[in-house]
Amino acid sequence: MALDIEEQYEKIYRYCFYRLHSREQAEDITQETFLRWFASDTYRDTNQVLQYLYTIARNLCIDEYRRSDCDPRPAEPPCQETDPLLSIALRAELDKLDAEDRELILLRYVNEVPVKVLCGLYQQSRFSLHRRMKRILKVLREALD
Amino acid sequence: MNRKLKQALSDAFYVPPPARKAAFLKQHRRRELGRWELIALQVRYIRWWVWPLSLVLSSFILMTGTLSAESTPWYIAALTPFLALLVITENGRAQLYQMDELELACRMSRQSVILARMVALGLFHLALFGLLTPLLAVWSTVGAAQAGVYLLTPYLLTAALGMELTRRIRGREGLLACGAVAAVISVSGPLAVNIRPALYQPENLIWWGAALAAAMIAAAVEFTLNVKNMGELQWN
Repeated sequence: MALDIEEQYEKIYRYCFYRLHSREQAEDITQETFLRWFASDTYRDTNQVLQYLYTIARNLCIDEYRRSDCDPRPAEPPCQETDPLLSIALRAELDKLDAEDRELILLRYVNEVPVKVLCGLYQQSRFSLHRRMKRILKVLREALD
Repeated sequence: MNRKLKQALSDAFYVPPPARKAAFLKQHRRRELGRWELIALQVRYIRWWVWPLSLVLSSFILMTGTLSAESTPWYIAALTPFLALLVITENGRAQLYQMDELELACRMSRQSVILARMVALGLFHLALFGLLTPLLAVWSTVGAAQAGVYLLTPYLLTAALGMELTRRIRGREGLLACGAVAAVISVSGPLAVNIRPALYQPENLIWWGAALAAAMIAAAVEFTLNVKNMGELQWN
């Protein structure tokens, strides 16, 4: 029923960061997204909240991207718990994907956005989205094996 | 997806921690309604006579259970469909007054509201059944397991069929159909006893158990479909 704002703040911030590659801009956009949501009564406690938040964040990121000169280089990850070789290989494979596929992987497997919300965001049926994710994962798995 | 790949993906999408998160959340602290708070809030919107009527129906079940000289305890199962009918009519109130579209546009989603009301009424009825079961076991001719099964099976069956009907037939007609179903389930108990006298005997408890399991599954499926159906309306 109620949305965990603290958790969603981190996720929206991660999403914005991967679109803008700037910590400051990503945080500004994240806060703007939440302020717009707070200002809207219609979506405050409906099941469309996540879709609403991601749609605002995406539109604001596009506006910001057009307005300013964002750095297209992705951020370098710090030392991680997983196998460094796997991590490097995975990043290389992710870089090969097109931006929308990469974003889809981020939303589904890192931000754990439900499939229903993704269908709304990408205007795709559940079936076609499933096939698309399966295809991307297959590419990633093959590259990592 | 295996855990290793999932962890690797999380690492690959690492972001530096947000610097202004705590200050922002502190400044814009919003008090969200918790699950139980929403239920407590919705309890006030359930029509007042639903509660005493539930108590009256439960008292009737207990009275017939203790005073009846019948050897077959069909009377236990005969009144519970009307308790389920109370839940269905309460949920269909918005449809009855053609206010469901307005409710869909409100701040609280209709799904949350209906869920909260169903939980409130469902818990109340379960508490009543929990109270009735040992009393019937002590004061009537049935055991505790029998009493529990006889109370729950027609209740859940009516709830499942009622939700199915209100999902398919909208407005007053849907609620009338629910009333008819509750009445049919209610009278089918004593009618079935005439055809099969051993229906309410302990040796048939396994069949009652199977019927209860089927009714539980049907009620859960119908409830999910109802909630999904409300979501579809919301998209339009």
